[in-house]
Amino acid sequence: MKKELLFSFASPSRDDLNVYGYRFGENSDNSKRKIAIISGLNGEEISGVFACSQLVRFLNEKSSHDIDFINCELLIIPSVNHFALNMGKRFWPLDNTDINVMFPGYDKGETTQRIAHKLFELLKDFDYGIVLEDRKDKANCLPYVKLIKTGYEDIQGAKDFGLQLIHIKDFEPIDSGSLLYNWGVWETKAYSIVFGSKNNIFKDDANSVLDALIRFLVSKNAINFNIFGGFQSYVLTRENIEIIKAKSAGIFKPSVKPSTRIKKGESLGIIYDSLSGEIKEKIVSNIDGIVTCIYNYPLIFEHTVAFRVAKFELE
Amino acid sequence: MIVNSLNIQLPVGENFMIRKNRYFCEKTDIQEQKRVSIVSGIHGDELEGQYVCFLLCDWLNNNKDKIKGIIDIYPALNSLGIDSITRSIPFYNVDLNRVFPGRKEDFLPAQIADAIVEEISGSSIAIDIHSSNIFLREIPQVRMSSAYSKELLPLAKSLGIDFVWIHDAVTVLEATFAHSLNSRGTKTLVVEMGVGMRVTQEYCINLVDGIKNMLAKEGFLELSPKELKQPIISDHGEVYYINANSAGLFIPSLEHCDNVKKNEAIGKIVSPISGKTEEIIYSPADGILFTLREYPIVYEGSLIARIFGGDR
Repeated sequence: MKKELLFSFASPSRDDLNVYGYRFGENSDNSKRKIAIISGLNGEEISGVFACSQLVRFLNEKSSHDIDFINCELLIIPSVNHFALNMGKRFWPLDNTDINVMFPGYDKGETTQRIAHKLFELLKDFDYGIVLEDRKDKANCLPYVKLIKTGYEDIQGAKDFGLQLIHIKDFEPIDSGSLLYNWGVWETKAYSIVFGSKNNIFKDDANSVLDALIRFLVSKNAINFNIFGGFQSYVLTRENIEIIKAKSAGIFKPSVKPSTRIKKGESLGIIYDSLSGEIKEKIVSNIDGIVTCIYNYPLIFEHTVAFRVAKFELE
Repeated sequence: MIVNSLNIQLPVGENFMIRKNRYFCEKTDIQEQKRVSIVSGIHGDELEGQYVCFLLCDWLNNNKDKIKGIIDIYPALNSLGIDSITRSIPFYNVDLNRVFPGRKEDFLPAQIADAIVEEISGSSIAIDIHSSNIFLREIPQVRMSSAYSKELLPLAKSLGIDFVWIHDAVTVLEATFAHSLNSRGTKTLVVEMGVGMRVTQEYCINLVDGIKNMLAKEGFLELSPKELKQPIISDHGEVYYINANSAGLFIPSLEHCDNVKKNEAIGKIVSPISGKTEEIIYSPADGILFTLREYPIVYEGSLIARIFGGDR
């Protein structure tokens, strides 16, 4: 393993932004596959930073005892936006811009465009690219693989993570600046793993993502390791996700967790009037399925998506 | 007539509203009248449009007999942001102008965007008034995508504005209010002027004169249209971007809107701790300094200025 300073960015007053990568198999045969894994593009993706750093630790421990353990060139970048992480911000602290809408970047452009450019120059020639992300909204979800529907998405490769769910997301204009989309344009097989909640680490989810990353590396013969099999992933599109919204605003108390199997008519949660304490709404499921995503803030807005349920026929 | 057109309950004792002031001709059937929408406050830190809306409402209140169509004025589409000095939608930290056309079944910012599109679609014209952000000061200008410039340029010229910037279509800008409305047949102009969190009275007064002129030309007001000054149009020259190549404190040596000569110093970036000048920034061309950095702290890449070099 080699810890590399990939690039630095000067600040007017604070420490430099020093972005590090951990490179494994750097002396491997040029014909071998190149895999990149990155997290911490924004300052709330602490779960991704944790999973990536634990993967570095795992690979370092294994490869230090077995020189044949790594069978590919592997670059792991646990964090890019340390400035935001270190001050509890989501985006680039000075101008509140999102690095993950700036790809492929522009070397003569604005600060976050330049950071995206420096990163993409390092990442664009990889065979496989994995970006660990959180959700933009306030929600706890089952960890899932996100692909953007472009016609080039690699569903088969996404199944190799062995996570329960793969979500094929319809393309939206804002996606055009994401790392996931631009990797795809540059013919890297790219996957996003979405998990975690803003500013929190759920250990079980982080561990399952760590396992998924290892499983993926095993499936690509990138490491010599045996790992238990994962799930046979269920592929979700907009058509087979039921969105259950709050009809009222107030204090939200869910009664299920992500992964709970529910039947039509079963209770999912309650919304209380914030001032009178009365029950304003009992939210029930209108289908059979598995809860994949739950709004996770105690105050809920009217029409907010409270639950997402993957439609399944339950026996 | 002040109308609340969208009411979303907030969790604790309050509603999120889209509020408009509707003016119309009281002498004819409202169903027969065409509609124009003047909107502002998509970004909560941009306040120039607030004063424009006030001036326009004030004038309309005193000239109701001159109104020939429906004029809807929405000063604060992102009302939570306007009231809390927050550019994006508070709570979600999402730029409202990157989620259009929105969706009903999505999170609050997308619902707001969907409601705005539903509300304003059907207007024959819309004007979306932005300030710059807090970092840059801008000359009054209309920005438009080249895809819609044929339809929009005559309208922009009737505003008597300083500059029209026709830019290439960029995919990410398809998520803006203007693109969503233009693609639905509402001719939508985007005005940018001044600086974030401030009101530049002169710019606002001039823009209101321009809007009244455009409304007269388009048959919304019983006024004689004037021949206002013609804008500089970006396709008659070239827009130069000047970004910092050092981090530090930017000290300008020219004023906003100054004419500048090639190789003339625009300013310098200095290091407060070392006392050294990190960089002197020179103009790459003769032209007008139509954008100038207002907020002094810069990183490498921070936009310092934009210069339009070309025919005046």
